[in-house]
Amino acid sequence: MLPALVLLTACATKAPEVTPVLEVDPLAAVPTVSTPRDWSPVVPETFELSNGIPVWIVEQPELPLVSLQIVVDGGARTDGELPGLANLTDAMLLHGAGERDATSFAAETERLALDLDVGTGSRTSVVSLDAHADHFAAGLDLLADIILRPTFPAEELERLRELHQGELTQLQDSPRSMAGVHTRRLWWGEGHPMAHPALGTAEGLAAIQRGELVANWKARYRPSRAGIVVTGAVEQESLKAALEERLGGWQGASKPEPVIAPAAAPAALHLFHEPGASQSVFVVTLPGWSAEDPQLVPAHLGTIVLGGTFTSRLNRLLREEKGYTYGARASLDSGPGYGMLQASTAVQADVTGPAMRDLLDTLAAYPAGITEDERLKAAGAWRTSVIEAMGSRSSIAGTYADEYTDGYAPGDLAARLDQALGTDVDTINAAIAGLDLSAALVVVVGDADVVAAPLAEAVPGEWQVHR
Amino acid sequence: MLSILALQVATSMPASAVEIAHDEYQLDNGLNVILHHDPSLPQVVVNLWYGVGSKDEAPGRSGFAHLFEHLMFMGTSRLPGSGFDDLMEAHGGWNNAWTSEDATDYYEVGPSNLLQTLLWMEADRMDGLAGAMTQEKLDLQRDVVRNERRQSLEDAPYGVLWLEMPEALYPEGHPYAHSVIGSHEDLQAATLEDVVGFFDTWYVPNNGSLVVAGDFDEAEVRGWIEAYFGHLERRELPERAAPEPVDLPQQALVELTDQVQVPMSVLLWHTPAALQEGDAAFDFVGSVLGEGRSSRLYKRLVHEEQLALEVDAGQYSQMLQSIFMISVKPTEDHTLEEVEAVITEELERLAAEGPTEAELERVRNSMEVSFVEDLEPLRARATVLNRYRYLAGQTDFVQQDLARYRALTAADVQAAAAQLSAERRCIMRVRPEAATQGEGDDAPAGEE
Repeated sequence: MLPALVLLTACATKAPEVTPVLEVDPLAAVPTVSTPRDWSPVVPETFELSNGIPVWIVEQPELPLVSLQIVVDGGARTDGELPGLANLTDAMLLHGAGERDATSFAAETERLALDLDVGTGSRTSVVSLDAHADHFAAGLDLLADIILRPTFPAEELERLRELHQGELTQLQDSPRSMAGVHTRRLWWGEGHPMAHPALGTAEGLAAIQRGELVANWKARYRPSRAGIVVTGAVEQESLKAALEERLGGWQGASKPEPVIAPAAAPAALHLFHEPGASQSVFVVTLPGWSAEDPQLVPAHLGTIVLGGTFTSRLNRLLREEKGYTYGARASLDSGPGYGMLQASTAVQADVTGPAMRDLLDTLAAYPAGITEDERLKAAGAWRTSVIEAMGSRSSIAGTYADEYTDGYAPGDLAARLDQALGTDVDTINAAIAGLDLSAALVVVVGDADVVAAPLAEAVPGEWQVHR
Repeated sequence: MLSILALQVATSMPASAVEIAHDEYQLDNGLNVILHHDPSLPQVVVNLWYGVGSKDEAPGRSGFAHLFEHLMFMGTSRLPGSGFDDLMEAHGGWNNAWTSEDATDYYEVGPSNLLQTLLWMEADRMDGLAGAMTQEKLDLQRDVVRNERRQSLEDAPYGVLWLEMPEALYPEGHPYAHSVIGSHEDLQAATLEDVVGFFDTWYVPNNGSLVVAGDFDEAEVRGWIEAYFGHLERRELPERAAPEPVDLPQQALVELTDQVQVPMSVLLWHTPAALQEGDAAFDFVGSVLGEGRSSRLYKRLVHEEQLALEVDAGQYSQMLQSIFMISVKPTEDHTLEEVEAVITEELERLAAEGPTEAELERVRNSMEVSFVEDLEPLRARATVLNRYRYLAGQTDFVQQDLARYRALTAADVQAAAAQLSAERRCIMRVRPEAATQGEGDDAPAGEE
């Protein structure tokens, strides 16, 4: 309980024999926050293998763990006429390589407690290995097998095809996932290499033949497209020798295709019918800042203010003031030649109209600028996120693999943090001033029978309803 | 100083001595304090764990412990409105919390220069949350929680299963017989008096354990903790009689429908409580059956016979008693009944023959590595210290926890598998709504 706070005042009329007891509330004053200590993230050392593959390494010997990531340029945008091809190719790498079939490969990986995986994004694939230091060399042997000597067994293709089709079916059961799928297709445009999810389409998966897997692997898995990031209990010289021994003979070059920017911002209003949904999922997308844009750092700071933290404008209004949702957020997706700002949330169905109006009004007000307090909050959040990213070996490897993917140099993470901490509010406001809400692509997944009319009333315009 | 000490021993497999160095003491009012110093990054984590969860809710108030967790962020007289989050985020901090059947855990992450403020904020709301509570705050967070229910369960594929599971497993009146999220009806029924009563009963220093982890000066932190928390009053906690262990589920078969296209079965058994005798053996059973592509169920159901799209198995360890769970989704041309039959066969085989030495080696290696990996992030270490203290009654338990697994024999795993019999299980099936509607599109949803 709060102790009584007694203020001493002169009280000449009181009997002098009573001694006043001073109780001071120890929680009365909010502590003053001191200045944060100087800090920068560790910067990777670099070297090159004889075949030109760049390697970034952060030595951290305190724990017997090693994390490695190999970024391979390409990803699902190389699918061509077969959406799902790169993802299926990547999955097949783990199902037969070198002298091992799928079963014995899995058994050996798991016996050594290795976490060896291949992930497929739109722009890149990432081969990752997390290992106990004692088993890192054995893990590298297996990793070299999957990159250089995959066998693509025909029976495994049929198994994995069915599993991927099953995943695709299940994706359709999640309104939140489908809001992302619809947005991606509409934003990039039907047929664009970035327009489909890495998982692909049912038609694409059904049509893939073994020869196409082999061709996709040969085209993408080239040293000229690869970069390696390693963190943990391994020394640079021994790592170099180990990688050279296993990957030094990896030869061949193929030029990565540039990402093609979407032709034009597809401003439109779309409602996708989800019968019986108790919530409506919103994804609103605006043209943003590309990876090369000099205003990217201030734009990121602004996005944190808009929807990057709990007290951001969107979450504060839609969750904490209105109670419409469990959460609302904004994010920036930037790549070579493209960028998009997305605001998203899921609101209870019966407030779909007013919630959409609030979201769009918040976006409309945003280009008018942020305050100095908001800038400080965004800068602090940025610094904390970088500190946390340096908190484990796998997180450091993942962070620097992302840096490599985005074309940054090893020291750019630290440099951008410095830039973010030093960016003033005017610079942020200049960056976000040009946002144009009329270019918004609005996607809603909800029960059209319930929410179509309120949406049309709240946001006049031509709503395209997809049933 | 190393925050986690991992020593190699000379065996063919990596066996690690894992330790989370810490100091522990109690304030006079009973608040437990655990200090874990790691200055390697300029960050701190504050983790305040209260020994109250959904198992402690009053009848007709399901979901209240979790609703209360939301209310803890709604301000005090000293830091009103959204001040808790505003102040924290103004200096680069962030926070979150979770509620389970057994406990409620609040944590903050921030730069080390924010630590004094974080401690002050936790003490402030432990002291004065109830005094500043209003009907408006309650109504607002009730709406947020009901939206969380919709988003996380009602509109999420298979969410119906998690809502129905407690009643299928536990008898009425058992502390685990309702979901943590609660029912809409009970959430609507919660009153301001409930909030104040719950706070006065459970949010007292002698029901809390405070972990401070990261970059700090120990003497300074001890001073802050004493100054901010030391004056708070201890209160007698209510007696909580342990319920009789439940051995058999309430229902052997539960048939449900949901807006999904792929059906799913979940097979469930009652198993020993977290960290108690037998608990570790069920973790091993879960790994032998369902962890990785070389596990028995994955190999047979997914790879060899292609009966299933995915299968998973594991022990969900809880304070009063645990649940062993196997979930499976069949491929398009196969049925739930077919995959359930294979699972039954494999369980019987494991119970009859036990695991192979190769399987034990695989699972042991996985455990050894994951113990080190999982404890690497500072936030994970802060949580696990409080978890051990709460569930094992001993903060310094990480070595003993690992030793539980190292000591397991094939016979232990076999004996645990033998308890997963058809007679002791509950099967919950979720089928696509469309599949139960018959031929016509106009049949009512859910009609059997």
